[in-house]
Amino acid sequence: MKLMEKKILSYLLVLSLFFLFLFWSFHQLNYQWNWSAVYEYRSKFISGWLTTVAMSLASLILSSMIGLCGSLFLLSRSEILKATARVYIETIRGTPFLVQLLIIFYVVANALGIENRYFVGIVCMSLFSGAYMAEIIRGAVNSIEKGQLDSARAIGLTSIQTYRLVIFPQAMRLILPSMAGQFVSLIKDSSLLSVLAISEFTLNVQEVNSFTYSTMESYLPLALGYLLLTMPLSLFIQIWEKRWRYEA
Amino acid sequence: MKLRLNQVSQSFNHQEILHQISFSTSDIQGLGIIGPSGGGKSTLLRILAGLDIQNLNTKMNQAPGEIFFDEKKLNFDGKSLHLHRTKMGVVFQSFNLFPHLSAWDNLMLPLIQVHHWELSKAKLRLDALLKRFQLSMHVHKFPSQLSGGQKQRMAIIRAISHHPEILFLDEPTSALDPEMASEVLHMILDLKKEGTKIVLVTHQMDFVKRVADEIAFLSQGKLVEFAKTSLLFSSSSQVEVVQFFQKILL
Repeated sequence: MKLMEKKILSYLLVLSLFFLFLFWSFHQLNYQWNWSAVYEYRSKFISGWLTTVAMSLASLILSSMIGLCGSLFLLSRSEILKATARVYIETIRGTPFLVQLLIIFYVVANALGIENRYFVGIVCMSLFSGAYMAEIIRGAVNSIEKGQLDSARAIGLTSIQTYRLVIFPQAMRLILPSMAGQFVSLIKDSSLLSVLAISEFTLNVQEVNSFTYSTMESYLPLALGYLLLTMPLSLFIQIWEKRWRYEA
Repeated sequence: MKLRLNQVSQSFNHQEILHQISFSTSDIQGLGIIGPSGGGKSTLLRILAGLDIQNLNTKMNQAPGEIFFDEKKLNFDGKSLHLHRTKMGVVFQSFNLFPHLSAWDNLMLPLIQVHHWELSKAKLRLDALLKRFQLSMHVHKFPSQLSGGQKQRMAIIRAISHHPEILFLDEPTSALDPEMASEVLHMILDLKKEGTKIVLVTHQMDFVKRVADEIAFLSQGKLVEFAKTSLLFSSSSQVEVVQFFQKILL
């Protein structure tokens, strides 16, 4: 049997067992399904999902940029830049995302006169994820051998060229697996934006649940909706990982 | 090349690694830097190659030392050092090829990105060097697929492809087994024959004899002796030098 066939069969077997177990569990519950009530609110599901997709995508891009800047600050020779990055990262990583959302929206955004809760939501998610990204990138860059830097300098590369052509391409191999996990977390954490009354996927599903009292019928599509987002992202990063792979 | 050093020092964490090294070479083709391990040989080579600047021991209130290449002073500001590095070639003990690039891309990188050569000119130069050193068949391999000797020879080609004024070699055979070391030594001797100017740090005395015209002997960060190669080996007056030779030539 070829390796690919083995892989596909293994996945099919594990998934079948998983769904069988799930089906058996629900069966034990004797739950009365009422999909028709939920189906009437399908547009709410779709609009919520699309909002989550859009906000997650914007946050992924912005958090990568913040992470990159944060890591450069951490790696810089300037003590003030290092201190700025360290305070930002430790504050974000050491406090719950929910508290950050509330403080940034009700205190900081309010003080700055920003009223667009979608914008604030994206900024919050980006700041949260950016702190973790900065540490991931810094760790990967620091793990590159010092000899590589010596070699880059010896052949006459400038600092920018050294990072662009030597350090980051080597660091990417180490960054991508952690980045995949971080991005998946970011998408799932977007569900907390419901506390800002942003009509994203989770909030809309909570509303449908309160209208229909069909809890399972509301929350199962919610889980599926997140999986539809996170699985292609993981897959995409795995393909990207192969692109950057090399034998050290 | 004529090299003149005037009180060159180096300190790390208030510990002095090099102490006021001063010597002047005549117009030579090869300079050897030898001495016991930890004596500051590689540190001095890194300063000469423009890889490190002199960190001075603030407690000792020193002025930075001076280095002159053919009576031109090397300035230690960032811009001058970068320019200096582009004119030199450096080969390290641990090869330091870039593992994410093929051997060919490793060789092309400095010619295209630093020296801005036309692609055709770079290709022509590299093809000639690869053919000469019998490495053409390995050029599409990644560093991990090359033997130690092949890696080091690729690293030497990368260091000489842009016709550097001086080739700095920091223990180029230390990480190689004798067979591979011999491949690299032959290549370096070939380069010497064709006129490449070389500054060499090594523990291999027979090799330094063949490459260096003059030798600086360093121990514990100090210059113990500077002399013509033949004189140093035949009639050194310094006890430390004689003892060192006795130890390693046993």
